[in-house]
Amino acid sequence: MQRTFYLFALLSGLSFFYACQDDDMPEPPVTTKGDLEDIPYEPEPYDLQVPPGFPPLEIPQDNPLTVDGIELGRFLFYDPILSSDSTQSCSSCHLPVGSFTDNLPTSPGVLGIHGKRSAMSLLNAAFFTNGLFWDGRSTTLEAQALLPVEDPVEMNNTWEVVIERLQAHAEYPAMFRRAFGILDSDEISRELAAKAIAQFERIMVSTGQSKYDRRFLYLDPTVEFTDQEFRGFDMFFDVADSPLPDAQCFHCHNAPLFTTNGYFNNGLQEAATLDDFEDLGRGAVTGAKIDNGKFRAPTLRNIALTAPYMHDGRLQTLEEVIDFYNEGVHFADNLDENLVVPLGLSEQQKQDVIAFLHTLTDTSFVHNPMLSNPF
Amino acid sequence: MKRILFAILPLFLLVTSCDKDDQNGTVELHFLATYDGAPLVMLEPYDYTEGISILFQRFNFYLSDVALLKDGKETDVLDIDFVEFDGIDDANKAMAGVALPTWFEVPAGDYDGIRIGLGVPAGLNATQASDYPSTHPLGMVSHYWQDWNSYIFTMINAKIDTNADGLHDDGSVLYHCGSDEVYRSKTVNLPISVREGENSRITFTVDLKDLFKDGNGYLDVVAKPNTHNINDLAVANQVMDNFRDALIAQE
Ligand code: HEC
Ligand code: HEC
Repeated sequence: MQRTFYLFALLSGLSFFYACQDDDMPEPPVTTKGDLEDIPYEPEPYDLQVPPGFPPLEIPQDNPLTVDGIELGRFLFYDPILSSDSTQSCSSCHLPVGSFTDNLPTSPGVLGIHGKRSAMSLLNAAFFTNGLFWDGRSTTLEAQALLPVEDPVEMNNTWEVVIERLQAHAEYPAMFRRAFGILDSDEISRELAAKAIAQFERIMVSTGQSKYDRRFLYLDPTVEFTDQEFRGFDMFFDVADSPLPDAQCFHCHNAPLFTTNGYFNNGLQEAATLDDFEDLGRGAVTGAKIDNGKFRAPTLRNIALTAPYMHDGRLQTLEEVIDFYNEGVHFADNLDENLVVPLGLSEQQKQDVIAFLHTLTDTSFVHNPMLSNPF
Repeated sequence: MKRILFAILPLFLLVTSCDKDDQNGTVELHFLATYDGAPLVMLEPYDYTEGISILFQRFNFYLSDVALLKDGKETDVLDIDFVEFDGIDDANKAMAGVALPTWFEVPAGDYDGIRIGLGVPAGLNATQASDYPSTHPLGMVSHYWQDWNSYIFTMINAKIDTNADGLHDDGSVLYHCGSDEVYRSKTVNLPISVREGENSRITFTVDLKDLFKDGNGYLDVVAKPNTHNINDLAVANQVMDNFRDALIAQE
């Protein structure tokens, strides 16, 4: 009788603790057989460092960062095994040297067909909290990672084929075991593959080594901005006591990420009415006409490395970008109100803004060995 | 006996932590915006002053420090939240208004007033957007202005047509009001009864045109198109005064 009591006490106590516990590590699912059971599952949390002044990381509870999860994600990201003819990997369009873009206006998929939009930088993808893609149609890195494999203008494959290949592979089953604790190769799934890729993408964070970061985030006394870079800074951020014109940039590309993650019509496409944009962008996702022709303002970190520019890669250089903002903006009813009045930057001032943009270049990120091709 | 208690206590905790206090009711905060009496719809042209047509693209603001009042005593309702009309693209949505998604739990009873703050109170305004997760109202980088060391409390963005060609491409109105000096608080005497287990909706109505009031007329938006200079808060102060005065509360 006494024992029953203690047991009851213990159990109810336990149930209380469990109900409130925050599951940090994925638990191995229960199965009857298991060809991977002998491989140890010892998940080691990965402590991701972000520069000071960055917003807090938002990592989904069901996909915590682990050393083995990230490593699996890195292999999958660089492995052409994901594409139908095994020629294309994520990294074909997202290359480290281009801050994880391909430096093309639009990218050819395995069939040689080009999509209509330009590959996006994955720098600080962990902080893209307001939708992914130029139009925000995907909400999480996990959900996004499922899409390229089956996209006909990208990898043109099916997940069934990919999963078969991964299950039959010499290395991957053990890597999935170490990353997620599965007991059997049968449990390899697209969801786990996507989780691993998402973990790898989340560690693609700024190193804090750009000139801007060293000067303004780390307050490194050895780093000085030139007069020109400061003039660019003043115009970019519309500093109040500066006599220079307001370049308006920060309203949409604000520090520290150099994006607000918002959707805007920055006047790129010419359209007689809100129904006439060649690419409806955000409007096609929300169904609201007011959103037609809006795109997500991308980060300007590493912008010097990601030419060509804009969702269709129509602008080749940063000079063309500034010329566009200064004198090429197309009017539409939903043109962002910050860009209606011409900026009025002189040639010198345009160069100054460009000089400032170059202070956002983080070459240590591009050369980070953690992010490099493992093959 | 002790043993039973020991056994039951954790279970009890587990259950009560999920339980609602039934002495309470809830209040819902609801907002309606009009322009010159008409429902406020974004990208819809409105007459401003003689010869100027105005097309709004954003109207949003921080709401803070909300409390119900009763015999001079306060019941806290809300620390900070954000209200935006930016997505209102037709008259039906405008007439439905914007309601904060949370219903705030307060003791049931008859209150005699409500206090609300317009903007971000000084304590919170000393923090910045990157201190918060993106889901927090103060985590919006778009509403933090580094150079001001302040949030943008109220944002009114519009474009104007001054040459009557139907295109609102002749100028913009960018009234971004921020910094501690422009914070406003308003107390409204209003009987609000909160019934046990029931929700009471409190509706605030604001006519956006009133925010431009200037003496007997309206602000000259051509001469003064923006409030971007932190060293010149005259217009920002005036707009926030107008906002406080224009806000009407009803149950
Ligand atoms: C054929 C080229 C191509 C391949 C292969 C490719 N991508 Fe992309 N990626 C793009 C393009 C183009 C976009 C933008 C598409 C759009 O917005 O419609 C994009 C966008 C993204 C984004 C959104 C970034 C942001 O800022 O919102 C992520 C994340 C991403 N890709 C990850 C991946 C992953 C993971 C893989 C492999 C599973 C992959 N991509 C394979 C071309 C490619
Ligand atoms: C109204 C918001 C807004 C303002 C102001 C603004 N941008 Fe942009 N920016 C955007 C949007 C939206 C895009 C993507 C547009 C597209 O591709 O259709 C973009 C794209 C860019 C790109 C290309 C990014 C890439 O990865 O291809 C650069 C570079 C850029 N902006 C720089 C600037 C600079 C410099 C300024 C100030 C002179 C500025 N922007 C002002 C919203 C804005």
